Amino acid sequence: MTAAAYFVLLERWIAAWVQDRRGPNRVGIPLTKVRLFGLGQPLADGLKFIFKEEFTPAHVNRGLFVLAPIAILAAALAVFAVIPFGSVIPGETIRGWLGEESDRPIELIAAPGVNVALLYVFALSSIGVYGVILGGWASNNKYSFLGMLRSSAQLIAYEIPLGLGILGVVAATGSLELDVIIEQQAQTGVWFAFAQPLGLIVFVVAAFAEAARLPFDLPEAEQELIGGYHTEYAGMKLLLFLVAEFLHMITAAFLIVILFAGGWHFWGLTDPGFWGVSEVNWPIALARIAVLMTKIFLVILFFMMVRWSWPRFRFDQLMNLAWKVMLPLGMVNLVAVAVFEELRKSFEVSDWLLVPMAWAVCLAGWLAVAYAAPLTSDNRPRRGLQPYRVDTQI
Amino acid sequence: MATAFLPVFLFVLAGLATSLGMLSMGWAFGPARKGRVKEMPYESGMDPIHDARRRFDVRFHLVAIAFVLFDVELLFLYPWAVANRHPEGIDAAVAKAGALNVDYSRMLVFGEVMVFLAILALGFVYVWRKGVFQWR
Amino acid sequence: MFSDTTTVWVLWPEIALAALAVWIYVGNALFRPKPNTQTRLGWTTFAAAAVAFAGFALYWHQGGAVWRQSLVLEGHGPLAIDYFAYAMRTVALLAGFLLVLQASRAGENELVSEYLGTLLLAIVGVMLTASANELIFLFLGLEMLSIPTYVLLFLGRRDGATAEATIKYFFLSVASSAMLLYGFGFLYGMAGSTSLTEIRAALETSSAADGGLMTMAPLALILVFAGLGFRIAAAPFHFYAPDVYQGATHANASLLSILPKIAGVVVFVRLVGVTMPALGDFAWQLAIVLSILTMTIGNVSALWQTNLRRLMAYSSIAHSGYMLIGLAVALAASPAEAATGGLSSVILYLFVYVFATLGAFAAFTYLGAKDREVNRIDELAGVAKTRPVAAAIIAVCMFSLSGIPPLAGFWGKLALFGNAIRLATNTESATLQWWFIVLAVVGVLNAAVAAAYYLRIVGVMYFRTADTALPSQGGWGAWSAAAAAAAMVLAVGVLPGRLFDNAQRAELAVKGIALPEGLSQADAPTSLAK
Repeated sequence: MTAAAYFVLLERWIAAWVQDRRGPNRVGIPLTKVRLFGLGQPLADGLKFIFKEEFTPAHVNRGLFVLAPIAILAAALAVFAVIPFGSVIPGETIRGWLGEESDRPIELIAAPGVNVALLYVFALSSIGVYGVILGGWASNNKYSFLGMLRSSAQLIAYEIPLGLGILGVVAATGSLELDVIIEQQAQTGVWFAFAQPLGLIVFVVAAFAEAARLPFDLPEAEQELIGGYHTEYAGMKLLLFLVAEFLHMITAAFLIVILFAGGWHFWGLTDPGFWGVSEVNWPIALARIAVLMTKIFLVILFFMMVRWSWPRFRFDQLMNLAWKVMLPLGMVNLVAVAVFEELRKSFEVSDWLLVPMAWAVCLAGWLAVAYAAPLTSDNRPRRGLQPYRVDTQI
Repeated sequence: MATAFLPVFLFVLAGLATSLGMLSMGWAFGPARKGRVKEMPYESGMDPIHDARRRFDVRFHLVAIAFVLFDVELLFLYPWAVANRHPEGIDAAVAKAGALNVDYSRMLVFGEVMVFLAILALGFVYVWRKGVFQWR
Repeated sequence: MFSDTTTVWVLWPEIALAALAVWIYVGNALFRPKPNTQTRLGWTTFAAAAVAFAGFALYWHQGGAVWRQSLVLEGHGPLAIDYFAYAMRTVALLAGFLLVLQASRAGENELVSEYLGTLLLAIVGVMLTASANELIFLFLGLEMLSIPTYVLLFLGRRDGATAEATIKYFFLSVASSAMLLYGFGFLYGMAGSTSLTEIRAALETSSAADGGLMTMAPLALILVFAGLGFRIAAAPFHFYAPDVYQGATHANASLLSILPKIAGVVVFVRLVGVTMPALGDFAWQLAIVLSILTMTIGNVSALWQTNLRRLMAYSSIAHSGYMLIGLAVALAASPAEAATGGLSSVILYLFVYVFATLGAFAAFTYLGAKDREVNRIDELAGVAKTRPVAAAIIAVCMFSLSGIPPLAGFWGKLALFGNAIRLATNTESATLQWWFIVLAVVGVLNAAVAAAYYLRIVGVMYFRTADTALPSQGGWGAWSAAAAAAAMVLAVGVLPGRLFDNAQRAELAVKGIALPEGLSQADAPTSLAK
């Protein structure tokens, strides 16, 4: 939560930097003149939200109206139960404090051993759609209604490429547990970003769309839609929506890093053998956490840079991208992974040898899609289209 | 197994508690004023004409149906994806069943998945060419 | 287990047909030919060729092996590889071929590939149902039939009546599937297995022992009757039929009166007649009551119908009632293992009914046009003058349906009533005697009543003059389908012996009884049994 608040600050700084102006830099420690680069800003924002009026208009479905932000935020928070934020820490020290016998290493994950972790993440991020639909429907406002339709269509459309991207990784690891996926990448040294470039592309694009970040921020699109599905929300309820969106972005960053960029793994640096020890000791554990956090920070920086670099998609382009580009690419990736797995099993092909083949598949898929759906990025108005043929008989 | 999921439930509860706590904080500290205009739906200053819940474009239904179709197909693929490389997955099952030719049996499973994906791709081509994804 | 591909080989006519159906969908969408008459003709030819190909595949690939097959093979999981399945698949393919021909001009040009592909999938559903020996596979087959049926009904015509009929059929069909599934659930709960062979064994052993789970068996039977009764439009579940038939096109109405009927009768025979004969008096009493109700309601209501399809709907209901007679005979006969002729008369009657109905509907389709269908009986006036061949076809089919002696329908009714009376005369039990004599008498009375409305149609065609001529633009496909069906009816009427022989063989096969020496060239289970 706090991280989300500070990421807002970071985002505003980056926005200012990209637009060549000064960002928030004044709020520091209260009652003093210390500015501290504006680090007090999130605190002030939060306080302001608390003292805003908690207003529910008369024309809404009260129950659903309140339920929507709660659902979306609770789901966004609960995802972190199965996401590892490091690898393991040596068990004996902490167990020693707790007075237990075992010296098994402790996994840095809130709920270790959940064997359907990825499905859980997937399911909870789908609940976000419910928040959007409930909010838009309960608001009983035309702007909210339109925004709700568009954003729910977007979210469900991009859930399929998201699932396809995940499926490739799952097929290559044989596990739905995130720590096992990292472990495998660390063992072979081949991150799935190299082994499945197509999967990475599909997944990253879909993750952007699921987190409703620019260039996929159609759900909000403040310039066109007033405010999207949360037009009628104000005060703390609005804050819940906004925080949930930032949490979605952080989750997406975690997933990208864990699934495709090796998680805490960095060649040599995080390897006990490289340092000449057999077990993971404290320095290595800390290094792993640092590596993971650095990667996540870089991905989030990437998210924010993208926000200020690309214009928003038009809605038909958005849908075309989801159905005509990402879905076939995801299927191509899945087939390629399945074939590679068969090759690996039958002919003992090495992991590194498969990488150039994967890139060849990526290139071929990209070209094929570019050939099959060429109009996706075309911004010219279309004149040749026929209007709908309305069936008047029914 | 039950204990493995306990933290998950705790996290869900914590998430709910956080949301409710934040909401109640706003409710406790914020002001509460009402007004007739304030309670109207926001329509950039216009008076709303009718209820917002009306019939909407059928394309959204199409997207929803396409989503359900493809998502269910994907869910069918998850068990295969996990079993594909899991230590107790396809290979173990093939060995356990006592199949004579293990490679052949595994290729059979692979072939079935490929047939499944081919049918999915055919359905995709059909839906595409029928213009379901055409958003205009 | 992993390398066992026998199932695939046995089912490969179905697989090929489904693949070709998918190609009809995808091919048309992929190439997007102009939606005109040539395209329609091409796809109709393709679909007919696909059905014919599946038929040859069934005959060549399995005819040799399965033709002589008389036992349900053990160890093949969901499949029943016996002569009954083979015969029913053949009937489904024959009827399907004629249905494809009949639909050569039905519906819109834009949607022709959808119509034909869905039709083929419905045929596949019937074929799968026929070869199922397992509850889940059976249910899959039935759904494979009913889901395409919804689509087909909707594709027939674009107006409010069709939409209403489709929605009615959809919701009631879903409800009936749910009831059927509930019955399956009870069966599974009693037997602990979804295999029909094992369910039968479990029912027999536990009926020998004390009550226990067997108390649930009548409930399962009732639910199965409810679910299947909807499919074949039997009495308390018949009420949808008139409305739906009236709202559908002739092509769809014929499909609706044929394909679900085949599937429903197949499941009745295999699930009720063979798997659950150990239920005692309750089963055959239920069948008799439903049979009498169905026959009477169907025939009496049909008497004052003016709409052609409504009349045919009531006729279809009445024929379901006749078929239930055979089922009652099979259920009442003891011991259950013996061949009593009950099931074989059902199979025989099904064959006869299917082609007579198909011929009539195809002729109606031919007489109408896409935008002007033959709706009322009065519109048929004077057809004998303007379209003598079509009138003759309709007359043959109507005579057959009413059971006039030289035609196929007569033999069907003879087999049904004859078996009922034979059971009544052979049995010791006074109750059985009384019930089955009553059943046979009611059946004969009903046949007499039915003759009234069938002959009314013939009378209107031959003895009244036309006000306006019918368009007769249903196409040569419909005409040839009607002619083929009528020829089949005539042929069976003249030479019924072979059909009797095959029906009896199917009954023996489905009951798992080895064929007696004299009946045919019966051999032990052959190559497929490996």
